[in-house]
Formats: sequence, structure tokens, C-alpha cells
Amino acid sequence: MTQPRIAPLPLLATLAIAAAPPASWGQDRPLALKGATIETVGPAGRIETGVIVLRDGTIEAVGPVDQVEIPEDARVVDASGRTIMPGIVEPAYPYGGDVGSSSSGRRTVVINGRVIVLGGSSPTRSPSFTRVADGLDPFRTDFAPLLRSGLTLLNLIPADYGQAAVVRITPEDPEAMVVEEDGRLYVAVSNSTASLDVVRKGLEAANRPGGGNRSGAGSGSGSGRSGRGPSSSSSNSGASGSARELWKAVAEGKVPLIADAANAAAILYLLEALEEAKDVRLALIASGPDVCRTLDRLADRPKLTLLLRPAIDTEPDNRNLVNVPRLVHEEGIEFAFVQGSDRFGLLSTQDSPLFHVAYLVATGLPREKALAALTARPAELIGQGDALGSLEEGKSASLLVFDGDPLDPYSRLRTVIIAGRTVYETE
Amino acid sequence: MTPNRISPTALVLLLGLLSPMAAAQEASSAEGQENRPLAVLAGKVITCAGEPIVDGVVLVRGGKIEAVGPQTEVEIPEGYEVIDCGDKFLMPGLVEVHCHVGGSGDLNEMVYQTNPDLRVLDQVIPHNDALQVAVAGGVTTVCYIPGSGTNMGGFGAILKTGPGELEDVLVRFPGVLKIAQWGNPERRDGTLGSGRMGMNWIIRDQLEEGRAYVRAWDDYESGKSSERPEIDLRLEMFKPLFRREIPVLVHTQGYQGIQATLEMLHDAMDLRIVIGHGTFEGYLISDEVIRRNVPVIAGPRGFRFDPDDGQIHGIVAEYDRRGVEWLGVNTDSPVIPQEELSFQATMAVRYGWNEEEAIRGITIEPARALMIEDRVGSIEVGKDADLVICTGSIIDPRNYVTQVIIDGKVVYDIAKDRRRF
Amino acid sequence: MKPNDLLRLLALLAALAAAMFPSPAPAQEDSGGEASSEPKPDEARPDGEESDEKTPGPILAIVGADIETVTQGTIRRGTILVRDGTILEVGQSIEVPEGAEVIDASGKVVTPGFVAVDMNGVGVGAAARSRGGGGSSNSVADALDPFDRNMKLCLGVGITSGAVRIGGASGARFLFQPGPGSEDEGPVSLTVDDLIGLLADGQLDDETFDHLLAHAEGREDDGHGPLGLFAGDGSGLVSPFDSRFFGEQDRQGTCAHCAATVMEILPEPLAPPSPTRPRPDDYCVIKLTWGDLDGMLAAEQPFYSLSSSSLTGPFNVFSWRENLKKARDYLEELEQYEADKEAGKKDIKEPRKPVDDGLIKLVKKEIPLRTQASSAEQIRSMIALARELDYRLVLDGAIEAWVVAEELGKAGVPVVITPRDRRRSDPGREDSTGSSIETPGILQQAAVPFAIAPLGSSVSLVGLAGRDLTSLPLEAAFAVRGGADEATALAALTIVPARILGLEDRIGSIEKGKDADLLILDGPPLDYRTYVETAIVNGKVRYRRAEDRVYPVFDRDAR
Repeated sequence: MTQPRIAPLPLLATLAIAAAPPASWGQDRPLALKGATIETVGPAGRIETGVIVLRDGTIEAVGPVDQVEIPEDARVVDASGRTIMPGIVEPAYPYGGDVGSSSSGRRTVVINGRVIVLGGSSPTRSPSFTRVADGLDPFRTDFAPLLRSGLTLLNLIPADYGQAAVVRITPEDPEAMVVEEDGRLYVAVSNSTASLDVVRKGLEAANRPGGGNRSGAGSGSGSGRSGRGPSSSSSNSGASGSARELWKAVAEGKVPLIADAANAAAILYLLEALEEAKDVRLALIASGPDVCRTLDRLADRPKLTLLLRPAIDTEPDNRNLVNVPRLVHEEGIEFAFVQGSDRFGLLSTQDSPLFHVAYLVATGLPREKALAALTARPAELIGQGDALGSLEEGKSASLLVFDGDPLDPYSRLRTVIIAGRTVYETE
Repeated sequence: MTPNRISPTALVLLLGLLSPMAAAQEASSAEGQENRPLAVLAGKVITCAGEPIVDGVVLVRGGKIEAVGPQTEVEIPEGYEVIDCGDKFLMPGLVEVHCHVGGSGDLNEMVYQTNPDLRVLDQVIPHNDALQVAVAGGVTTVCYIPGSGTNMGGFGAILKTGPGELEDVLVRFPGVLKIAQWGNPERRDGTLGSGRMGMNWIIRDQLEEGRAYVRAWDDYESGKSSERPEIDLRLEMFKPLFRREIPVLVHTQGYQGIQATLEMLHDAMDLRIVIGHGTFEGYLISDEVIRRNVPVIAGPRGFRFDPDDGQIHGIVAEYDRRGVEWLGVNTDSPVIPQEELSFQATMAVRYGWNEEEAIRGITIEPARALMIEDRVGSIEVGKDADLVICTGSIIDPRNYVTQVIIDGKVVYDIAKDRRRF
Repeated sequence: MKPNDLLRLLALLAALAAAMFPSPAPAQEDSGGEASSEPKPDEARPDGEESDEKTPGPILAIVGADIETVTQGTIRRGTILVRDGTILEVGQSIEVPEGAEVIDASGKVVTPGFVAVDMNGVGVGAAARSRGGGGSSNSVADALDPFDRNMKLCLGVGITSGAVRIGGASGARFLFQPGPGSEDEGPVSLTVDDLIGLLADGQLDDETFDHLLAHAEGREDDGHGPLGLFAGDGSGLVSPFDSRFFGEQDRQGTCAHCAATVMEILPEPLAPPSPTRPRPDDYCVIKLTWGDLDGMLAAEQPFYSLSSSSLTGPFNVFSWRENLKKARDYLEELEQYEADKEAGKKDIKEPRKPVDDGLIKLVKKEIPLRTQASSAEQIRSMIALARELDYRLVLDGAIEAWVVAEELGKAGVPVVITPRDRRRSDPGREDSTGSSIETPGILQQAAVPFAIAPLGSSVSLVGLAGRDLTSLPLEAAFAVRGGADEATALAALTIVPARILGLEDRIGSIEKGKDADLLILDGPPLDYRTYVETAIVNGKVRYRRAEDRVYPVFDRDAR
């Protein structure tokens, strides 16, 4: 617990704080972190004594100390005893903005001492398509605390149905936050017609030959008598043309569909709805117990990635502990970790956020799978795999520096670097 | 059991000779106003005091059991009315420790938080509608107690369920003291003494006051003290309680509740206690219950759903599994209708108890818990003649009660009465 | 008259007679399912169809058990073959084909799965509650929950299918008086959809949700009557505290447990005497196909369910008559329209449906009316009304059925009874009023078909044993206590409720061609100690006592 303290990173510390106003340090001079253990989560795997060179926000070189030439102009920081890994990528972070909530807005009511927040959606009402980017406020400050958990990139998802947007957490530089405005298609699915119809009709519309906004012009003017005809179909398949395009891309397997299943029944319904759509790459958010229940069905689904909470779960209907990611891995199903809004899986208060992940690894989940599920897998899912998720030459310099093995509960997260800038640091 | 031995043939002869005329004479002459003595014959006599007797007979005289044994061994004296039940089962009348249907319904008189001066005796209605059906379910004795709205609801009365005036049906008053320690009396609204700590302090404080009062009287009566204490009607009924002549029927549930009951009422106050619910996860404290040899007469809940293993657990079966022997069930009538006392036992067996123990658990064990085992709960010579005749084991709900005898009198007979249950 | 003429006349007469008295008997027999030894000759047979489509699935064989078929007696040490969800063969000397999966049930008893006439809240998700309300398109087929734990608890006592109430609370609104800390000062109004949303959000637990819906559905058996009534919307509001409309209890306003006031929006303002539309409770029939959506929904609207209050009182009976008349008129108009269309007539308009689909089905005798009638008087009047208006009838909670058993038998009206149900007799009229434990025996004597319902129609885990839905077979044991034969009591758990649900050709007995809904029991079905060891629904094992462990597992003979 105490031994890593011999090598703090005084240089990083001073630079991050002192050089904040002007474009920060990586800009003109490269930085070389030398002597650290590097979990690349890439083809290079784990490098025991490595060096990583960062320049202009990207990784210039990474490899064992004896194989990488450190540029002459680089500042060299002794990082021995540290472990460096890619920043954690969150594939589905609920964006709690005003987007998507009902017109009446959210309000709080206290009934019999119970605080209830009204104005949310209900699985029985048809959700409307919303685009996170349309309501995004980069000046929001509440992302900053996520850095303590090592989260560097968030895929912000709408309330029930719509298009996600990707942001990186750079509180000092809000303008640079938005990475991708036109993100993945997201839909919350429950065992209700209203929510299932979003998927069914979305796919149906995508598969319909031709294109254009058929309902808007055609049947709307045709019937004329009442708004009954067109309204239902258009609202369900997505009011905007972008929804249709997204469904088309999903149906063709170009992009994954991120779906959140409310319960195990919803998983079955969703699989049923996608039965014929073999090309759809499904990224399914599901609870551990619900996954346990449907594991055999999920194993049969091609092109599936499960988004799991990085924590030990209980079995359905009892409190026996179960390592669901391990079960999923053993079934041969791909998975990534998702924190969701409660960030239950990460322990940010201790500066050792990966405690629960370490527990999963200690109870049988392969270490490299766990690290990939935090970084490379979610980065690929949200379309950022080329730039992020692993420490490779040419990729973005977004990384975490721990003062020991990240999966050792005694280790602490010391530094978070995003695009070459130190955005978080602790003593 | 009885020294009289006659040959089977002699018995048959005796039975054959018995004429109604002779019987009537016998009844009027020897027993006066009392009913005629009875000889009840059954295929199986479950005495709850030893092994069941196949083809047994029970002689009843003067409201008491005069003899019990195999028909081959017990001579039926002349003049006894014979009730031949064929191959039916004969068993002792059932005993209920936790009944709220012995009278009018106002059982939660919340005058104070503890009300040791209240007594249900003032509202008993003998053989009321509910008790009439209870008889048809084989229930012959009930402990009618106040509710659990306050920490000390008052004193209960032990009654027979049959017809008669109060003095006819009263087995004992004060029967028990009712104390409620867990659940219902809790208010937790922030008022002083509405949570468990406060409630238990108030109970303790009240009992300490009662104990001091009884001690003062004991000292005076034994001559230790010459000063005659003032009579305080509010505390007067504590006398039999602290003299351990009657028990406390405790509304207590769950591990913590039962622990408090054992520690406070049994250990500290040295009272006889009956765990009058014992439900939820209460069985987890079985070891402590066994160490003190305290009866658990569980109910009205019969099972607990344990979220840890996602399984249903029979309350009584779990106590039984852990070695508690002094076990029974209750109905907390009207929570469960009083006539379904045997069905409470049915469900306990379904969830893993044992049928033989279950029959004891609705007869002799509750009788012992109430400290009335010298009068009811088993078929033994000298005890009250409270007998139930059933078409088979009363634990099987397909069987039903055909006749009930209380204090030697037939109070229910489906040959004459409309079948009630 | 020539012989020829005579013959012709005779032929004419015969034709006339045939026309006047069409012989319905043989055709009816089949659909009635009365001991039909060969149900649906070709349709249900797997080999018939599957040659074109699929190869037949694997065979499951249950051997060695005593089989209680219900409709065809007991088969000692028999064999049942199951394939593709249905019963392929049943009998004593049936060869087990090679490769079949064999379950050795020697020493066990096999019965058909039990059928619950009311299975509240089992196997459906929250969205099923909102069906039909507020113009929503929610379909129960999309709201099933094959992982509902209640299903395991039901399977463990032998229930393999049952009728589930859905959407009963639609249109209800909940008015809450907000407490300190709320943004709103006045009462807050929530719909069922709002509640489902809160439930989905995790803001509301299942228990509270069920509690509120119990109010909205007016489940008086749970002590949760509807608390208030709200008529119309906008200006025509009637206060729930208006004494002109509501009784004392309604006006107390809020529930002792939850501070809710439930209001029901009536379709029309209270303005008699225009007949109000009937508002039936929606039901569906669900099979407990744990873990499987396929085949789970067995039927929708198996009967037309109305509350007893909506059929009592002159105004309600008037409305009922009017509505049935509308339905009949509509059917006539429709027939005329079809005929006109056939004939190529122009300028014809398709008649508009004036009532709901269920009522049409009722009038066509496709489904029965199911309502409650506990007193002899209510039973008599329901029988009379059904006879007058010509529809099939099923009576729930028929406590005084024993008083009118003869009439029920003659009318052929099946009843649903709970042998332990109690109702006090009127003083001095003990012989003709109140409940009787002997009702099952009396009904059997009078040939009144009856189904058993337990004291509670939902699964309850509060701990009171033997009173909720899972006590169904125990309640049947009380029918035996009340004088019914074991066979009748078993039929009251199987074939009779199957008929009430209109599914007697699929469930309720062990017969060739029927659904393979089977129980392997460790003892006689009505023995209180008996547990289900294995439950099979639609041909698949859905429950095993030793593995599922929802009930205590122990060796019954060791106790």
C-alpha cells in the first residue's frame, strides 16, 4: 500500500495545474512515461517494463523500454511501479438532461413519506425518438466526478429511444467534449407492446424497399378526415428521417443496436423480434439475474454483445452470489462492462475503482477479458475503436495511471489523461 | 391403565344386554342432574399420552374420563350409554392458545400503553357463533386473549367452547397475561416509547411495579412482613403471574423479538411464558428456546419465504428440525377461523413437520403451555372428558368431526345437528 | 293415393322434420369434449401435418405411474408418450419407442395439470394491467412474463394453466394527497400507466403497485374496495365525497394503508337513463410454460366477465338487456349486409359494431358470461336472466349453491366454489341460507359441474399457509370433506375448469391428442402431503421439486 509512494509524479502534477491556461503540455513537447507496466489491451498485450510516448494528444510509441526509442525532445518521467491502462469507456450512460422527458416535466411528490419523481416514461406508452446531441450541454459539470472512476469516454443514451452521442470528459475544455453527435441507436425494451413495437416497426421500416418519408406525404393527405392514420405509424418508427436511416444501418449490421432489457421476459421478446434479423449486431444491456435466466437463449444469438454490470450479482430469486461475466464468457458470448447511472460497479470513493472488477477476476473471469470489457470492447461498440480502447501507436492518448496493479485493491488511480491532457490527478 | 379385564365375548354380551330403559334409570338415579355416563368406542383412540389404542374405549362419568383402554380390556359397566364410533378416530379435544373470538370483538382497549387491569372476562360470550363452528372443528378449549394493540392488553380467560353459563365454560381466570413485544404495538412515529427499546422499557417498568406489589403481599402473607399492603386492583392480577401459576402469552416474532422475550420475561422477570407467534425468522433462535424449555405455539403464519434461498420454510418444521420439542400451532382466530386449528397443523405437516407431533401440537402441548394439562389435552383418567370423534386423522382435511363431547356431554353430533365444518 | 305419392309425401315430411329439428347432438358432442375418445382426429395428430413441415420432435415417455386420466378412469402402471407438446399415446400396454427420453414414475401418480379459474397476477408483466386503457394498443401477448416466480410456486402445487385478469384497472386514476416536501400542493393524479412507469423505474415496489391496483380493480375480497368514483371529465366532475352518489365507506376517501383515492373514469357522465355499456373485466388464459414465450398465451377473453353489481338493480338489468339486443341486432344487420354484398347490391353500408367483441361472442354462445352470485336468490335470478336472454352462464362464489342445486343442475350451469367459504345463515333460516361445508357433495348429487377456487386467487408470501392460490389442491380436499368423491374433486381441478375456460379440447384430462400438461405426484392428488415432483407443460418439464426448491424438500416417509 505504501511502497509506490516513493515515486510520485511531481512533474505531471505541476504541469497539469501550472500549465492549464495555455494549451497544455503535450502540445509542443512529447511526454514519455518510462518504466511502467503497460496494459495495452491491444495486440502487444501486457508490457512489464515499458515506455509510452505521447505527442499532440496521440500515442507516438509504446513498447518495452529496450525497444522504444524515446525522442530527444521528450520529457521523460520515471513511472516505474506504476501501471498504465487505457481509459475506461462507458457504452451506455443515461443522459439525464431535459431531453425526452414528458412535456409536463419532472416533479417530485412525497406520498406517505415516500419520495416519488413523476414525469418519467412508462413502458406502456409509445416512446418518442430523441437525439441526445440535440439537448447536449457540454458545460454541465456533473461529468467531472466520473473521472475518479477512470471513465474517460461516455456514450450518452437517451431516456427510452433515440440516438446516442459520445463525449469525453474534459471539464477544462467543454468545447472539445463532444466526440460524436450521431451516435448509436438506443432503445429500452420491456415486455410491453409499446416498447417492442419500436423495434418491430423500426426494422420493418428499414426493410421496406425504397425510402423517403412515406407516411408524411402519402397517407396523411389521403385520408384527411382525422390524424389517426399516419400518426401512429410515424411516431413508432421514428418521426425523423434519421431514425429510419439508423434502423437501416442497424438492420444491415453496419452499426450495433444498443438495447436495454427491463427484465428477462423482455430479453426473450427482443430475441424473438430480432429472430429474422440475423444481421443485427445487438448490444444488450441486461441485469445479471436476467442474463442467468436467459443464458441458453442468448448463447444462440449471433452477433451479440452483452453489456454487463462489472460486479458480482445474485442469482435470480435467491441471494447466492454469481459471477455473471464469467458465465457469459464461458458460454462464448462477447461482453463489455456498463456502469449505468448508478456506477455501482466502480468504487470511485476509494480511488480504487476497479475493486469489483478485481473480484470478478479473482473468481474466475480472465483478466484480459475484464480489461478489454472496460476499454476496447465498449470503444468498438460505440464506433470509437479506431481511436480509443487500447494503447497502440497512433491512437488517442487517453489513459489511466495506477500506482500499482489496477486490480489490486490497494492500488489507487493517480492520473487520468485524455487526449494527452491530464484531466484528473490525485495525491 | 385400568385393572378391570373382561373377555371380548363378555363385552359383546354386555353391550347386547344394555337396554335404553336401564340406561335411563341409571342416569337419573346415580348421576342426578348430570348426563349419563358414557362409553365411547372407536377404531383408534389417540390419547396423546402414549401410543394410540386400536379398538379402544373411553369411559366417561361425571364429566371426567373414568377409564381408557382397548375394548378387550376395559369393561363397560352397566348403565353406560354406548357411543360406538366404528372405525373412526377418537382424540382429545383440541386446545387453542391464541383466540380472539371468545366474546365481543373490542379486544384492543388502548387506555394506556400497558393495561394489566383489563380482563376479557367482562366480554365472554359462551358458545357464540364462532365457537359453535370451532366445536365442529374439534376445538374444545380456547385461551381467549386481548389483542396486541398495546404492550400489555390485559388478562385472558381459558374457556371451553361448549354451551353453558360463564361459570360452566370457564376453565381458569386469569388465564394468561397478554404481552405484545413486536410488530403490532409498534408505532415508531417518534412518540416516546413507540419503538422497540421504548416499548420494552415500558413493559419492564410495568412488570417491576407488579412484581414489587406481589412480593409485598407474599411477604405479608408468609409473615415476613407484618404490614398489610394496600390492595391495588390494577396490580392484583399480577399475583398468580408472579407466583408462576399462570403464564404470559407473548405476541413475539422474529429473532430479535423472541430474544427480547426470553431475556426479559423469562430470565429477568422469571415468568412462565408462551411464545404466541414465533413466526418470521424466529426459528433461528431455537437453541435459546431449547435451553430454557419454553413452548413455541406458532401461528397464525405457517411459513416464511426466505429471500436468501428463495424458498418457503415451514415455521414449525424449522423449530422441529432444530430440536425444539415443545411445539404447537395456533390460529390467532379470527385471523385463521377458529375451526381451522387442525388445518394449521395440516399445513405444518405439509411443510415438513410430523403428523403425530402435529396432533400433540394441537392438544397436549398447548395444554401444557397454558398450564392446564391436568384437565385437558389428552385422554387420561381423571381429566375432563373433552373428546372428538373424527372420520380419520384430523390432520387430513378430507376427514371431519362427527361428534364432540365436552365435560362428558355430547355438544355436537352430525347425526342430529347440521354439519358445521 | 299411389304408393309413389305416399313415398314422396313421406320423404317430404322427413325433410321437413329434419329442417325443423336439426339434430345438434352429434356435432355438439364433439365440441363439448364429453369423453371424446378421439379428439380432433387429424388436426392434432403430429404425423398428419408434419410430413410437409417439420420432422416430429423427440418423444418423452412417462412410465410406471398410476395415471388418473380424469375422463377415462385410472390406468394402473401405464405409459404416456409425449411428442411436440401433445400426448401421443396413453395406455397400459404401450411400447416405448427407441430413443425416447424416459421418466420412470413407478410408484407415483400422474394427473393432468390443474387449471385455475382465477390466477391473479401470475405470468404477466405490469404492462398487461394497462391493456385497453386510454386507447393504448398494449396486447397481453407482448406483456407475458415467463420468468415470474409465482409460476414456479403454482407449478409446485400442480397448477399448469389458468385464467389471469388483465387490464382490470385501466381507466382508474389515483389521487394522492402529497405530503410535505412535494412541489404540488393540491392532490396529484396518477394513471395506471404512470404507476407502471414508476414500477419500471424502481420507484414503486411490486407490493405497493399491487396494493394500488387492488383498489382500482375493487378487489373487495382483499378489503380494497374502490375508494371513490369519478364520473366524466372536465366540467361534469362528481366529487367522490358527494353523498348523493357515494356510500359512507366511499366517502372516507383514503385507504388506511396508502393514502390513495382511486377514481374511476366512467365512459359517460352519470346521466341515466341511457343504458351504460357493460364494462367487462378482461381475462386471458396462460399456460405456465416457465422460461418460454411459445405457447404461453392459450386464449384471450375465455369468458365475458361482469361484476355481480353490474347485473343487479333495475337500471343495470335494463342496460344489460339493451346491450344484448344491440349485439343481436348488429348480428342480424351484418348477416343482411353480407347477403346483400353477396348478391352484388350497391349502396350498402357495413353496420357499425355497437358493442364490444366479447358481447358479440357471448351472444353467439362462443363464450359464457361469468359473474358472481353467492346467495340462492342471486343464483336464481342469474339463471333466469341467462335463460331469458339466451347465453351460457358460469357462476362464481356460489356459496348458497347447495340450496338451489336442483335448479343449477337442470339449467346445466357450472359453478365455481370454495368449499371453505363461509357465509352466516339468516337467523331462523339455517336450512336454506348461509354456507354449507356439504355443498360439494350436494352439487355432485345434483349433477352440477363445479370447479374449485382457493380462498385467495393470487400467490401470497405473507406466510398464512394454505389460503392463497397455491392451496388449490388442498381446497379440493375440503370438497371431499364436504361429501364429493375424490374423482369429482379431481375433476373440479381439471376438466371442469378447462370447460369453463373453453379449452376442454386441449387441457383438463389425459387423452391422446391433448396438450401434454402433466403432473408427476409423490402421492394421491388430494392427499395434503402430496407434492408435485415434476410438472410438464406443453410437453416440456417446467418444474422439478428437488431442483427448483421453492417448497421445502424432504422425504415424506421419513417424517
